[in-house]
Amino acid sequence: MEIVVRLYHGLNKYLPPGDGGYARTVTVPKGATAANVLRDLGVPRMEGVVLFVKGQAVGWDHILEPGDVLAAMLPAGGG
Amino acid sequence: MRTDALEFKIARIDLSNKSVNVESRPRSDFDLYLGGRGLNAKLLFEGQPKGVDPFGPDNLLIFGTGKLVGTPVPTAGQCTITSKSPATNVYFKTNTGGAWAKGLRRAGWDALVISGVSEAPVYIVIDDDKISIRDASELWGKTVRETAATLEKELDGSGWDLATIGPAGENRVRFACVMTSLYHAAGRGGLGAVMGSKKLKTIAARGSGSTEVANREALHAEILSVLSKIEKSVKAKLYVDYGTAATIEMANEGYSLPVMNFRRNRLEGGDRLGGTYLVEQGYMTNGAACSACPLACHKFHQVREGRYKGFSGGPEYETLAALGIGCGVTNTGAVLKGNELCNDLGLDTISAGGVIQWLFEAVEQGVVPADVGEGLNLAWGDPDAMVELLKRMAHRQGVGDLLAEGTQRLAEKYGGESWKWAVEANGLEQSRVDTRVAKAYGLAFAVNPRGPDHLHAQPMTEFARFPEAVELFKQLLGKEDLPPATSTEGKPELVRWHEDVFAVTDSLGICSFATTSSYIISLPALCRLVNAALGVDLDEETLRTIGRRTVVLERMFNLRENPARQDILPWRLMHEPISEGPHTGQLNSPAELKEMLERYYQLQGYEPETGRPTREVLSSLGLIPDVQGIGDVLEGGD
Repeated sequence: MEIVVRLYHGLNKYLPPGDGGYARTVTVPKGATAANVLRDLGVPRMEGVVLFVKGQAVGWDHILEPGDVLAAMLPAGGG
Repeated sequence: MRTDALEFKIARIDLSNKSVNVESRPRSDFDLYLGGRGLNAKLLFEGQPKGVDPFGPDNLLIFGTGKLVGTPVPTAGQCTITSKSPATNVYFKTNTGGAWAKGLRRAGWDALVISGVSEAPVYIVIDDDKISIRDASELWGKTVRETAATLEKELDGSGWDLATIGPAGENRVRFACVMTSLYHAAGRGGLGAVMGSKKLKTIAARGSGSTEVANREALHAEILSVLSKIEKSVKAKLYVDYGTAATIEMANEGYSLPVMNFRRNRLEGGDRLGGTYLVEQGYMTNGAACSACPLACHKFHQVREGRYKGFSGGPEYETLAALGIGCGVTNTGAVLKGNELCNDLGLDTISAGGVIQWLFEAVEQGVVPADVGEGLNLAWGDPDAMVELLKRMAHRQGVGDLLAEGTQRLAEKYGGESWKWAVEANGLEQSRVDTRVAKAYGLAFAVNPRGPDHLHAQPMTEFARFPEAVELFKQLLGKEDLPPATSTEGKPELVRWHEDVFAVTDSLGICSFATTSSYIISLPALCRLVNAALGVDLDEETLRTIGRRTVVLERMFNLRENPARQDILPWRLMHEPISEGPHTGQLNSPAELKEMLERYYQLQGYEPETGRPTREVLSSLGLIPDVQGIGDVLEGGD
């Protein structure tokens, strides 16, 4: 199935080559979790990494569905 | 340490008669307020009666440093400026970093209390214990950077740091700021306009003294411990690598970014204003630290070519969101240019952006005719309109003269339903936090004496996104299972802790990014730092009580000024639910806010219906009898 991955705050160095700024469409096995996808991209499972799927905060074990948008970044905040 | 180290030396400077009087304040002021913001609040309450004109001679403008400023305590480089705001007509404190506070403190001054109005423009020079008031006619009309360049030639020797206003302050723009160290803004509430109304262009300060510490060995050990925590903190790494700009990506991907005047929550292309893009595309040139700060979150940016070419300090998340995301502008160069203009003209970026967004929406809705722009395309996403409007409002040219009055007054003038998209409450444009998805922030903004803004309590804990925040959240709620940011559960308790600790932070002269945003300096660690540096023996509860004393005193100032003032949020956030993304339907509904307020009032010991502090609370905190006239406010007097 296809999902979109968006990576920021230095994690974007793990994105596959290609255009699309900080986003890439990737093909992953059905039933893949966020952890599976990020591991396959080489993103280290660091404490503090924040994950969103379609804008909803999720854990590493969240099971993805076709068309999901998975975003990963560090816990920014403050103005 | 000197025996009088915890007393206060303040200068009372009257610009009407050009007098300077030195006053000592007793150690008891430290025990009750610590200094900085806390002492400022007392000096303001006692120093002016109810109802003074913010632009009149009786409105005091107070600059206060904290007792930790000048010591090596991490982040101890902050100054609080306090006055009655021309935007909100009530109490206002605003805080700024850079090196200005350290200069003032090393010159031997804990606070400057400025009153009166000069007939002609002046600037103040503080060279250790010598204070002089000088003619500023050649500075008047100059931008912040032009002022600094002129004074660099005029002032003797080196080591000067400036607190100055730009043309916006001179022109009494109601959201003009005071700039320190060129690129640090005491941004909100229009205290730059208060300075301008006094015809005070600049305060130049330098000091050759040093700040003693009580227990060097203990302080050294504690500082090493803080530095070690910084090294391990993922939040601190973000500040170091990207500054607060990194928040743009977080809020955009989490559908909590206030897009186009809080109408939407994600902006395609918004990442062109995020920290990742700014660093990787070469816009960010370097970081710079305020005095004693190991985080160096303040970043500098440049645009190398094109019509927005330039260089400036900042922008912070709030600026990127206010001038960029909120206006629908994703042109990186234009937003950096807008930031540069706000720094140099002396405008608060948050309110300036809020005003522009109100105008774009008002033109779209047909409430304001499009031709007020005199050639500008007043439409969402137009970078040139955003940039040009900043110049016009600072100089009060054309439509800029109206914009300079702020969103609340604009909506009153143009009428119709334009108050519905005036995203302000109590006269202040809301900070760029969508409180509909962050309920502790919603409560914190509602009870903030400034108005809906993030720098009175910063309850970052509610997002539970990093270990220090999770730990504190669990501790305050007394449970392991944490509610989400969209829940109201436990949020009054959370807000109360953050208010107390934020007040302590401001009063000591350290930075809230270390205490209530990243939690790198925990409350126990803060106790140890204070005790080692100042030779006192304060525990957590005592520090929190001191912070709360200031919070309640500030509320009493507002109660005296305007008993009808309500703890509310902007209408849009209370009545228009989020319409996209996973938080669709979320709202700061009146019922939900009321529920949190009731619990907060109960915790504070306020009257449940009115939210007024009771005589018992004032007495238990020692505000009665310490603050002259405070009990009379409850009787409806002055």
